[in-house]
Amino acid sequence: MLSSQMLKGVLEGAILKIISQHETYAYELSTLLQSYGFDDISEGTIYPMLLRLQANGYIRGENKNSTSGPKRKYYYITTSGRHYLIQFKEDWEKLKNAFEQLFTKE
Amino acid sequence: MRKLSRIRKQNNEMEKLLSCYNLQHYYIILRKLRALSLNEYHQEQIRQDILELICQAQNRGNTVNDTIGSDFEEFVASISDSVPRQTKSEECFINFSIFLTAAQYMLIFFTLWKIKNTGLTTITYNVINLLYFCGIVPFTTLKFIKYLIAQEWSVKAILSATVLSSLMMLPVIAIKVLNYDTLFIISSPTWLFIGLIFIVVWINWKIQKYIDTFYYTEL
Repeated sequence: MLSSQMLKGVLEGAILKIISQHETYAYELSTLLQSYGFDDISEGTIYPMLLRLQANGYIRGENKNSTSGPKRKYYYITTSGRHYLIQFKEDWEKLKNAFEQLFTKE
Repeated sequence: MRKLSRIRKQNNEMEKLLSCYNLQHYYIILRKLRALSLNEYHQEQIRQDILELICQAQNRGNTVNDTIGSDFEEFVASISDSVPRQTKSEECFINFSIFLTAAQYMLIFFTLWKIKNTGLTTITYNVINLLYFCGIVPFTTLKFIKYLIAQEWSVKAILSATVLSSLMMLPVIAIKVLNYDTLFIISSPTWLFIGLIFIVVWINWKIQKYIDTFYYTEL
């Protein structure tokens, strides 16, 4: 299992990437993230991050009727969210390269 | 404020869908959420999201713990770190509007009560009683409710609020017991009170519209 401290920094980017591909809701996000190998990610972990992304204007939420039970909140990426995602990917590449160099020197 | 009552009504309806087990745990989260310094509309938006999450989990046969986990303290703390806090000026503005709402109803009640007792054209009343009923009582009630919410309705907080609110009534009782109340009795025409009610209602309506537009925004 990935350490929660390590996870916190990158999870926002992962969430934003999934939302950029298609509109989605918290439960679907958690199952998708788990399918990509992010273990043990519940809606309780995702929800505060969705709030932060929303507060920063990177995504917006919209309540839609669901076929099963009450309404569901779907999240959509905004233009500034797309800019942030590009920036995130660049930062991630730099970080990844730095780590690769560090660990291959061993 | 209309936005707030609409979303609150929807949330109250959604709460009824929760199972007994989920409802008990949801109330623990809600108590912690209420203690955060967020404006009420943002609190209700978050409450709605949490209710939706729990309802959907319930439909899948899961519980609140499967969805949110068991550390509610940590969950609410992460929410608190993710959303903008209520500013001091925003808090004062909203509190003032709540105070005016309470004061306007107390003023209407006071006027009707005095019309019934002292006549239709002129109202005879005690100035101290008017200040207490329409000013100090709504103000302190608001303060106490805020304090109780922040203390998550602990027994100690309820007891101290009860003792303090009883002490608030001491000056009125003392004036009555010492027979000084006659000094503060005056008469005013009824239209003055009706006008005052209209002014308070109008100011409050304007303030509520301002709050809806500038403070009760989407998260």
